[in-house]
Amino acid sequence: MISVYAALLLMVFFGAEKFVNGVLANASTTAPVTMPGFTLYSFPLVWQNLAFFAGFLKIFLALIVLFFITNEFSNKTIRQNIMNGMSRNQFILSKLLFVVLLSLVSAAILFASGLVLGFLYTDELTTALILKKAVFIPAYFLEVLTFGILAMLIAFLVQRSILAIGALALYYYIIEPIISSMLPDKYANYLPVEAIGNLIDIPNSALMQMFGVSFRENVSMQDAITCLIYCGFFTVLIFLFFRRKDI
Amino acid sequence: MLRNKLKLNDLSAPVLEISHLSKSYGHIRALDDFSLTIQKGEVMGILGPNGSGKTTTLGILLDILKADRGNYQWFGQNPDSSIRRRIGALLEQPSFYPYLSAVKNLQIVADIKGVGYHEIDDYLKKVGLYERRFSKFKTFSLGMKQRLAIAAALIGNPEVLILDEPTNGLDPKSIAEIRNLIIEIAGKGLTVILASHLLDEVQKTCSHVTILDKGKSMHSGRVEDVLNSATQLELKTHNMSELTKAMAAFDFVAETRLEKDTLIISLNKEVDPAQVNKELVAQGIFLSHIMLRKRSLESYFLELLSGKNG
Repeated sequence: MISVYAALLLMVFFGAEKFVNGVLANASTTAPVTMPGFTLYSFPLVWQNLAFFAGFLKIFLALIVLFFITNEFSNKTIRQNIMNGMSRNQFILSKLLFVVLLSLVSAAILFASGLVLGFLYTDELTTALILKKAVFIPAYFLEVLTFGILAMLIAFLVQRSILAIGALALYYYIIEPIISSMLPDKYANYLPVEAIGNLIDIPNSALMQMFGVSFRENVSMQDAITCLIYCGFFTVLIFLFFRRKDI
Repeated sequence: MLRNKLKLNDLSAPVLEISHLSKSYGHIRALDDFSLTIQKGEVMGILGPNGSGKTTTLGILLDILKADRGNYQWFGQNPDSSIRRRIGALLEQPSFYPYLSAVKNLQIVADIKGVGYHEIDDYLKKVGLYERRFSKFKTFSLGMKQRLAIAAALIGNPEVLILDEPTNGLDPKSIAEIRNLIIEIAGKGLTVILASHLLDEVQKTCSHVTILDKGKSMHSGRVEDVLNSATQLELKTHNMSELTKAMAAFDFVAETRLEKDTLIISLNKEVDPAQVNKELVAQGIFLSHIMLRKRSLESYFLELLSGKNG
C-alpha cells in the first residue's frame, strides 16, 4: 500500500507540468490572450510547486495511517500486543514513529524528485539557487506530519476503519470549514486544517501574475508554529484518551 | 518503592493476588468484589457459566480492561507492562496479523517479550504447525489459529500461563494434546490459570478451582477437596427393592437414589466396599455391580449454581 502511495507521488510530481500545461492549452483556445507555457520545474521554484501539488496527496497518507491503526483494533492485535507485554504508551509511540517515518519518506521523495527535475529543467545551476526556496521541503514534511497525526488521533478515537475515514472527511470538509467561516479570519488561521493547508501556499506563476494576484512565496512562521503545536496537542490527546480505556 | 524491592526477593509472595475487584458495564455487574490468591505452581481452573466474569477478570489482570474498584498484584508487585512479559496469555480468540506468516507473527511476539527467535521453531513443532510456518495467518483453520495462539503464549518461557478456553474449536485429539501440554507445563512448576466451562477438562488438569457466578466467587479451593467431599456407592442387583430395603438399614447411608437400574448411595463416612458386599451376601443379596464413585466436579458445580438459584 505504501508503495502505491509512493508511486502516486512520483507520478504526480513528474506529471504535474504536463497537466498544468494541458489545462493552459485548453484555456488558451478560449482566452483572448495567449498565455505562455511555463515550466514548473526550474530551481528555485520547483520546491514550492512540487510541495503544493504533493499537498493534495496527503489524504492518501492519512488513509494509510487510518488503515494501519484501525486494523490493529479490528484484528485485536492491539489487545494481544498489550497482553504480551507492550505498554499502552509504547503502542502509541510505535504508531507515532510509523507516521513520522511515512512523512519522512514523503519528504525524501519530494526532495529527490525536485532535485532530478530541477537539474533537468534549470539552465544555470548554482548551489545557492538549488537551496534558495528549499524551506518548502521541511514545510511539506510538517504539513504531512501534522495531517498524519490528526488522522492518527481520529483512528485511535474511532477505531473502525470506515467510520474513521468518514470522521476525517467530515471534519476536513464540513466541520472545520463551518467553524472557520464563523470565526474572524485572524482566528480562523489557527484551526488545524487551515494551518496545515496554509503552510504551503499556491505558488505564484506567470499566470497569476497576469491577473495581478500574488500569493505568498515563503513559509510563514506562524503557520509552522501552529502546526507544531497541533502535533504536540494531538499526540497528548491520544495518550490521555488511552490511559483508562478498555481495549 | 522499597516495599516493592523487598517483595521482589520475597519468594513466598503469591504469584497473583486479587483484592476486591469490581467492574460494571453500565448497569451490568460483571465483577462484584472478587478476591483470589494464587500460589506458584498451582493450576487454577476458573469455572463459571457464560457471563460470570471469567474473561472480564482475565482482561483486567492483563491490563486490557480497567477495573472500577479493587486492585491486583503480580509477583507481589503492582501491575506494569514489564511484568506481563513473564506471562503468556490466550484470551478469547487468537489475534494475529492476517497478512503475516505464522513465523513472522511469532517473531513479533518474541520482540515484545524481549527474547530471541531461536525457540520459535521448537514451539511451532510442539503445537504441530511447523510445516505451515510460512503460510499467512489468514489461511489457517480455527484449530490451527488456536494452536498458534498457544505457541505464542509459550514464547519467552513465561512463569505464568493464562488460557481462556484454549481447547475452543479443537478436535478431541488436539484437546487431549493440549491437556497433556498443560499438565507437562504444570509439572515444570509453572503456574497456570485456566478459564473454561469444560468441567471435565478442568477436573483432569487443575489442582485448584474457583467457581464464578454473576461476578461473585462461589467457591475457591483444591479440586481434590471437591472430589473427596462426597463419595458415592453404586450398587446393582437383580432384586432392587430388596436391596433398597437392606441399604436403608446401614448407618453410613446419607441418601439413597435410584438411577435407572443402579442404586446410588451418598455416604456420610468412609466405607469399605468389600465389607458392604460381605454384609449383603450374609443377608442373601448378591450384587452384580458394586463401585465406589468419587464426586465429580460437574455435579458439585451444578449443585452449587442451582443451590444459589433454588
